[in-house]
Amino acid sequence: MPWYLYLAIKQLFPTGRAASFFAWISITGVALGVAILIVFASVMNGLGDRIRSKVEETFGHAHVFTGSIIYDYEALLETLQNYPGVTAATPYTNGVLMMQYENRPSFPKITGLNPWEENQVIPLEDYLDIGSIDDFNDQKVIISIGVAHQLKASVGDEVNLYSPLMLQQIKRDEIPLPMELEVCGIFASGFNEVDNNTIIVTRRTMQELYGLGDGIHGVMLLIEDPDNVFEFTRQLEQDLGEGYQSLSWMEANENLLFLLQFEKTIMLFLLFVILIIAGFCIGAILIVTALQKTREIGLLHAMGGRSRQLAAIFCLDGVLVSMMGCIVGTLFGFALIFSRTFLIKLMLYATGKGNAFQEHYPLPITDLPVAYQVTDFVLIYLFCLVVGALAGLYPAWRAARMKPSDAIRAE
Amino acid sequence: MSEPSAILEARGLSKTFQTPTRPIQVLDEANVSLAYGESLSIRGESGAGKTTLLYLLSVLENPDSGELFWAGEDALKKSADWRARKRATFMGFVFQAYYLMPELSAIENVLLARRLIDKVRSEDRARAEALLERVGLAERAKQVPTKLSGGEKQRVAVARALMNQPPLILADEPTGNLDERTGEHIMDLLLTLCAEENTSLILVTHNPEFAKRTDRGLFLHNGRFTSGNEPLHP
Repeated sequence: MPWYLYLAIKQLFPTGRAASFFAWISITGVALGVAILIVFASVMNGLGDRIRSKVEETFGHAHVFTGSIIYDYEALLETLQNYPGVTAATPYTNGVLMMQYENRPSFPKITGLNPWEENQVIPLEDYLDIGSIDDFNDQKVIISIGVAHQLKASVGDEVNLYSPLMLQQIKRDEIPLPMELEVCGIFASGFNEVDNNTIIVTRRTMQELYGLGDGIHGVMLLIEDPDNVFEFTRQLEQDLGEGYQSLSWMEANENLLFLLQFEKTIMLFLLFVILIIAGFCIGAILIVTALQKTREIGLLHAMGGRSRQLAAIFCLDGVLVSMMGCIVGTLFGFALIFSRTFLIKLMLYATGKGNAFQEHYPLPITDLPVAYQVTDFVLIYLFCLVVGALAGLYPAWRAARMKPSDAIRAE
Repeated sequence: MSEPSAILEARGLSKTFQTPTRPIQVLDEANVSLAYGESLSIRGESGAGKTTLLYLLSVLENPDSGELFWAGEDALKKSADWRARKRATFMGFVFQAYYLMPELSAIENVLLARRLIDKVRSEDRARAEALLERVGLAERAKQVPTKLSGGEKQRVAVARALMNQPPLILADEPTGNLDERTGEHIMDLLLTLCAEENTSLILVTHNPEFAKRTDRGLFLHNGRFTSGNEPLHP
């Protein structure tokens, strides 16, 4: 081991003591910064992944449509079900309408699905909080938890549906009669955009409400390799020929996905400031150390040390502190992550806001998701090491330019 | 190439320091010659330039003019890197204020001299232990400097100076911070060890009794030697 590395290590961990005051303070500062960054990045990744998976689940990996009603869709459905890479294909119809329960109106999005058919893309049964999929038929409707709250409706209640088609009846001076359906289930997918304002009826009911005849609006797909869904949809469009469009879930939710990534990037950028502050802390302590060690620096000159080697002691100290901070911070960060449920409960208990939090937060508190990305860790560690090295630069420069005789004479 | 007669030879070394009010000449045309195994004392009043002379002889401070030879090699014409490397093996220092590294134990301080030139091997560790035993600190080898008395610290510094078996020791008032009895003990050790290891010694001291124990003595007054390089003792 080079002597300057040896002295840099000894400066942090002197003989006879676990660590120097400088080491305790600096490593703790860096470790806290690293721990916070790791916890934040992992939770953001977890929440992001959860939202992305919910988007995937509720949208499917891709949609195929023409922009108008597709009649005689069986041939298209068969083609898609046999298309390489497709694992499930389900026809869908989408729209909006007005819904009323007692005197309370709502304007939900409506989807027509037959969940009893094979190769379902949306796992509707898994989302049902109340009710059973077995009761679902053309006279029934499944409503989202948001709509249920809005209308104060529950399973067994009769609701009235007014479709846009009824406007045409009004224009013809006819009196439109609403479609009366019974709520047979309430679902919560975990994706707010869907859960706030969606109802599901059978395909036939939807065709009736929208006057589609036997038509559908499109086919939703699940594929084997969702990571390459963009390439898949481009190829599918080419293979299906003119008139057909294919849209991946990423393109359909581009804004949401961009916001998720942007939010994480901005927050990480702001949190990196913590590491910069820790860097200033290391730098300040190293400068004081360099001043305190002026005579030792002179001695090392006298013993044959070269200026750049003396400078290396302080640079290495900065880097070593960062490395130790990364190790301790990673352990501390994982300790926080693994005890997150307990910590959240403790925080809610201390603030007395447990119930309010649970009411408004879309996820159960015992299930705060985390996910780890290697790139986050690499970025955090690299940034930390660079900050540490930069923090040591000024004291290193001071040590290197110190005149040996002046250093030895220093009081 | 024949071995040079002097381990260290300085000719016409001069040094002037610039102060805000006026330049102060600290050394004026100083000549010093030291034979292999010889000991030389340098005395003088405070501010006479004794310590500056030591720094010039080790090129920790650059002279304004003059020539300096380390074992026949012109030290002033060599690079700073060469001088740093040479210094590590050619000379050992003993300072008044010991200058031990506070984060290292006594034996680690002694071994540090070795670390600066090469990695520490078992024989180096054995030599460090032997040196500490020789200076009476075998039992205190693992103590850090804060746990050692002034005399003990200086004994560690002597052992460190001798660790690499340098042919020359430069001692700058090594007893200056010690009481009389401890100071005498340190001087005994330094002179005995230098004699045992055939190491040349330049000793800067205020104490005329210690000066008498070296082979030759010089007296500095206002930057000039006032007595010749005559042996104090035959």
